[in-house]
Amino acid sequence: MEQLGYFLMAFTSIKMIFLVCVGTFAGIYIGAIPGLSVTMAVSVLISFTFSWDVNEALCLMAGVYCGGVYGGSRSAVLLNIPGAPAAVATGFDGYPLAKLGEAGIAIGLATTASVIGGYLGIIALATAAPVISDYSLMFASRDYFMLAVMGLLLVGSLSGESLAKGIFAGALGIFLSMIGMDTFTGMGRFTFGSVGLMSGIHFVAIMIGLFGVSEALVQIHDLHIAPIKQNVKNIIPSWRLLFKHFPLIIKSALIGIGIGALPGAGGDIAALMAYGSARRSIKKPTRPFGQGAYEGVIAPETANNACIGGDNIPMLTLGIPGDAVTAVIIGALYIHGLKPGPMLMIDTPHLFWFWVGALTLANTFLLPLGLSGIRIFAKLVEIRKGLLLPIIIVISVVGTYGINNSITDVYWMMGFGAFGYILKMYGYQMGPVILGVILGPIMEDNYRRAMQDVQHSIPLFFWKFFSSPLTLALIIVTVVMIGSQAGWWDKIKKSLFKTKSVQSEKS
Amino acid sequence: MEGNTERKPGERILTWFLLALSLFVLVNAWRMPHETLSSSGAFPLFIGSVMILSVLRVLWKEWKVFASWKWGDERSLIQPFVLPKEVIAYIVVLVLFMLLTSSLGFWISSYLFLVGSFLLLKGARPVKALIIGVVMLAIIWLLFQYIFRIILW
Repeated sequence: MEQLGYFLMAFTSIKMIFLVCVGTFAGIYIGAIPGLSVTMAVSVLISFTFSWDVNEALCLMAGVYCGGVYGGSRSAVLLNIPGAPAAVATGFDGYPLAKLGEAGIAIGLATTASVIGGYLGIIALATAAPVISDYSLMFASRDYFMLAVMGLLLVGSLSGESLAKGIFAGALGIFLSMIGMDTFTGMGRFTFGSVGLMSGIHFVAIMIGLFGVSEALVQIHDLHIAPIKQNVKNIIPSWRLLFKHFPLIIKSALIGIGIGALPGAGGDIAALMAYGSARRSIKKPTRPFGQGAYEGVIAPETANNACIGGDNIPMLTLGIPGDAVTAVIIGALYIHGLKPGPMLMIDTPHLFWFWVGALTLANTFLLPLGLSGIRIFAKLVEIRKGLLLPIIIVISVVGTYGINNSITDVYWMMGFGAFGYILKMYGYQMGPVILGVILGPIMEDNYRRAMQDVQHSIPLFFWKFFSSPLTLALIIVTVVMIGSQAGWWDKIKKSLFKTKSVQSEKS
Repeated sequence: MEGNTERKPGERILTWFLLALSLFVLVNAWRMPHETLSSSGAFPLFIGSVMILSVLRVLWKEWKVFASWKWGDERSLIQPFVLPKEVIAYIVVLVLFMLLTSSLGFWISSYLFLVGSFLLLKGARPVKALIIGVVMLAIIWLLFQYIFRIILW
């Protein structure tokens, strides 16, 4: 009963309802405008809402998070430019649908599928997290170390064009997290005698630089691309259409939840997996896949929003982020003095249920907000990048300054923006860097504790890894995921890109 | 997964730079105490090694690509690929913004930055740029003064 009270807290305050609504609305448009990402928005919001009450800050973030994951689908359908990585798969059939004059149906299906997927994900979170949290107390330091390694390896290997580049990006993030004072010994590391560096480089400055400024610089390459105008009608899908595809929605939601629950794998992977699964399993789609199949919109959209619930399971119960956005949200929780992990549910159970409530509310707002406002959207995507990019930079500057009221943080942010831009241009992803920054301290602390437990004996350290069933299971999962991806992941990617190239040849 | 997708002019420079950075990390980690496996320097040593190994793997994988491309041919393509004129100009504007921000304060330097950027990136014509700059800063002021409660310098 107490939990229900916490869950309903966000529903009972007009201010909080308003914040979730504004957050969801803003999230949809941030997600929809190519060049603005939900990760960027949440990173900036951390410092903006720094002085707020934690519940109010979480309401705004839950809205932006849910809205942003969904919002990417709009530009994927209407412009064939996914507004967020999680919407890449939506464009495969969404854009052909728009070209056939069915943009309204595509957006309507994407919205309803997202909302249903979102609810199923939240149900999974509310059911699984308390159970996992109980078990997580049994996790030893080496298990946390293994989970962090698993998260980094997965995000590194799945997010970019090359495993080696992904691992480098993750290691770079860990290196950045080590700059400053060693919490175990008080010794400065990589500080080169600078007192200023003893407190480290603030992770929000790194995040905003890598996701805000570097993205703005990348977007300068596409300044001359003119926006495409689309005619959108009949946005609300029929019950019959939804009912017909209900089994696909359930299946895709399960894929989304499962992928999300894996540390390191986020909405983009979930959407691609669900799309691949729908392609393989549906023998008679409404149209061939890649040419405007309704199933090709429903599957990825259900999965990427269901993934929100899944992603939150390891984040809240183990403190291990599911993807770059959850890594940023973990950062937000740290800033508000909370510590995601096994103790979160014990020390602050109200916060967990409040967050679940805020996500539910945001998901509820997604339906009316997603099914309306197409005219505003059409106007917004017409905003020239020449206007948008400088505004992103100024907001990034304000956001970074707001963390510590320090101009040095702004310089760091700009430096990381420029460095991130170069890395991005050569195929290094920013997601693993951020995960590395967040997971670095968790990984190191647990590694050192595990080593101290075995009195620095390497044979005993490894023996413990293989003698504990839980650790062994984590090792097996990691090895199987990394080892087998060369097979299944390549197959999915090849089949998807084949569809895309066939589709572009035809058009 | 491991197959390379395309040739990117200048990638070899970045890869060598990242190798140098990784070596720098490893050398500095080596200077930290590393008597036991949980000393301050132990984990940095491990991470430095991972960085080096992963960059070496990139080099190994791309070696044929790098070797098949004459430096003279590649050199002329680097600037248009990674630093086209618009990006260079914008980086200069960003550096100026950062230099001015400490002396002129946030509001004046941001206004100059916004107007300059709108004009440079062809986002708006001069008069419109001046007006949008004022409107944007007014919105930022209202937001940060009353909603986010961040005091700007």
